Amino acid sequence: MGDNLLSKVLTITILLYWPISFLLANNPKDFITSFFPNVVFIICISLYQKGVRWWTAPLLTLGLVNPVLMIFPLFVAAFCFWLKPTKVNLAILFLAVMISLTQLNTFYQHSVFKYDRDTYQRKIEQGYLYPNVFLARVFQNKLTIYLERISFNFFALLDPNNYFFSFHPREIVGDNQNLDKFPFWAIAFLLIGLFKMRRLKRRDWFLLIILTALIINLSILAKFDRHDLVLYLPLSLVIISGLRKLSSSWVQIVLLLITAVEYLRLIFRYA
Amino acid sequence: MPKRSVFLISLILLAISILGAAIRFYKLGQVPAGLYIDEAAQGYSAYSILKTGKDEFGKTLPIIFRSFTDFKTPVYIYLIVPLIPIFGLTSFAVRFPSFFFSVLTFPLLFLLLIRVTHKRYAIALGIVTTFLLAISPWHTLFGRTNFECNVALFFLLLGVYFFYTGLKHRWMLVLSALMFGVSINAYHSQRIITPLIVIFLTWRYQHVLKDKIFRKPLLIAGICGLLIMLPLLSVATTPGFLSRAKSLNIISQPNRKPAGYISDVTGWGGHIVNSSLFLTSREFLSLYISYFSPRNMFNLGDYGPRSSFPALATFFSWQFPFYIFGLYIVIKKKELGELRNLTLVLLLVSPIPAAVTGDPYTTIRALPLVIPQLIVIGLGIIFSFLYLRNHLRIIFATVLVFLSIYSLLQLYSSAFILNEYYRAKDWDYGFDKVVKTIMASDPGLPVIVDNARGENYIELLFYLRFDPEKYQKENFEVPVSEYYTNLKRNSEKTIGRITTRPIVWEKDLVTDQILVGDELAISRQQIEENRLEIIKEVPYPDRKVAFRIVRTNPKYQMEKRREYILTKGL
Repeated sequence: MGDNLLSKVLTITILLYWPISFLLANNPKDFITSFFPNVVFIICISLYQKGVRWWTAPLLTLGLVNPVLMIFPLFVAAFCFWLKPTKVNLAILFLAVMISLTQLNTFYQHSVFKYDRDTYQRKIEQGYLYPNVFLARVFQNKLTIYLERISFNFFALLDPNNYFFSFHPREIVGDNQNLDKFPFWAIAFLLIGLFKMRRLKRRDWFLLIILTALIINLSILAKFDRHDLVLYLPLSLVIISGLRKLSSSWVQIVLLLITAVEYLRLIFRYA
Repeated sequence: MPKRSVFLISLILLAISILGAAIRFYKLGQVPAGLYIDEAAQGYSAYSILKTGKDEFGKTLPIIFRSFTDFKTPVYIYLIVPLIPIFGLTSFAVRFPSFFFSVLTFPLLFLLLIRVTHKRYAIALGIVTTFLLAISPWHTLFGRTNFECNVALFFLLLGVYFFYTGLKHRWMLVLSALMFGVSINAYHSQRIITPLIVIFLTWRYQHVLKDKIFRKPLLIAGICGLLIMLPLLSVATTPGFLSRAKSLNIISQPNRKPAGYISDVTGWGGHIVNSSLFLTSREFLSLYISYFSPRNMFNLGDYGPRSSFPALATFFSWQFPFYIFGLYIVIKKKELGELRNLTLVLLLVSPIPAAVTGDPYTTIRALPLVIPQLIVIGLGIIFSFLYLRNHLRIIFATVLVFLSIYSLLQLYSSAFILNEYYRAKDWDYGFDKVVKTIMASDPGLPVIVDNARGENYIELLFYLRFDPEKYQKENFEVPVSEYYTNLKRNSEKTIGRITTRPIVWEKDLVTDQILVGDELAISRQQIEENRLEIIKEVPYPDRKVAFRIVRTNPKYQMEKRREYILTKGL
């Protein structure tokens, strides 16, 4: 995209959209808690770029500040140790495990694994519909309860309509704020950014691992709404990387105009 | 290719087709239990055509069928006509064309893929994709029930296949044009999809088609295509033809507020944030993209209770990683040649008509999308297999076999067990039992069937196999000359001694007659208060009441009213 003023403004509008939307729809305290992981990511990235060996260490604070995100640092620490089995990585992994163990109960309370009597009851009732016990056990068991919940979250987190159209046309009623997260035109640049990753440079790997770990972590939560703000930075980076392919000034102007309308819509919707 | 290989491939294809046919044929006409009003309407229109040469409104061989003024496409209905003398007017006969053409789609897809795919992958892709189609929940659902979209898909693919064949054997282009014409006549959404596909194919092969030797076949193909389209074109400007598009599209509905409309903003701000062009474009894009969303494809499925199975999406969730990998392959591998172009164009074009309607992820209107999406999944599977080392390939193949068996069981669980239990109401379950009870009742008694919540007259006509000539005489909606232009409805229907209309309690209770209605129309309280005689309660599979058939008690009503007058001193 080059370094002209228009491209910089477009990048800024992308970066500000979700935080503003979140802030308008929630109170500042919620915003600070939910946005905190993104600050940690920025610290990690700068440490990584400086070549610091313990660049993953700040991630350990995530599990302490917000126990529902404890899986994420564990996943990253384990992956880094698997990639480079150094003493530093082992120490970070050990600490991640320790923190996770201390937060396990809180995490369980917010996870899909929490006991839900109604769902169990429904499964038992459905079991009686089958002609034999084998089929009933195959399709209506405890595991299917967890799998159904996890896959519901997992695919919702992978839904492009979630990020660019506030889940329209299939909004989640009750359990989600259906926030506007990025201007809708940015979907094209997310795809371009993802496709650019096919060369999988080191930076791309890093982004992909972060995204995968976060999506796995969020999928296990009973309710991922608000916590999904952790995806803000990785997704924004992919979109901005796709946006670099855009060189036409008049397209940039059109996109800026559309974004201005989108910002106005945000203000009118939540103000 | 050696004869032995051809034999083996044919054997595999036959096995896949038998499997797909078995999945679709098992309890065809019985599951889903019940018959949706659209199915009954198509069946009875066909019956009426067979017996009188006219539909139930008295129109001789209609170009599009008036029905509930939704003007149904004609191909499916005319396909049912010759089946009625063989199978009778039954759910089986009504659903049979859908089953038949869905099974024919398997070899057709295989042949098409062989034609457009690079030799290296052709057979493997053909077999894998055809197998995926055979077990596909999306295609299975429409292959077991009466949906015109399934027949239209077959003719669309046949048109594409003949087009590619026509590039070598030029007279095949005539058949291609005919098939495209049938496809457009077969389903509403094909009126957009087929022309776009034809434009793409013609544009892509313009260098070949410009050759002198193609002039004659192209001219004849054009004439044939036009001839087959002529009847439809002759009514193309009528309100009837346009009614469906007008009632569903998100662009031209006058009172519809587009998604994202912020109602409490007025003045200049309102003009900007609620700009119709901006919001409608945004909504269209959101609907269009939803057809590629993994959430809809692998988790939620169609929102409609009749166009989905409970607890099953349009694709099996294990196919998700192959879909992502397959998309990557389609975009990256330019050596896929024509397969790549055809897949991409089908992927991009198929959701357009569905996305113009406001409904989210409607798999009926976007059915042609099942083909490119399965090709993408098939490519994902094949390239994953190719990238693996030999010993891992065996494990991979074994896992896939287990997943396929599990998928078949899942299909059985959703389609034959959960769907039957939870979706009976959506499939208009119980009308056959209602008709049996009415037939067994005192023939001297008039029958009122409450129609406050639906077009149930057509179910009665269907199950009674009511004489179409008599029905045409007793019921008038609009003059035949205004068949396509006048959208006026007649809500009260007379079917012999049966009348369908909303129950008017005060009036209906004083006549000795039979009342039929659902639980809302005839409640327990009304039965007790008015001392109605329950003739029969028709339950759904979950034991909730589907219909109540009761006999009025005029004697009691008269007494009650007399007492009322006396106590009030009137």
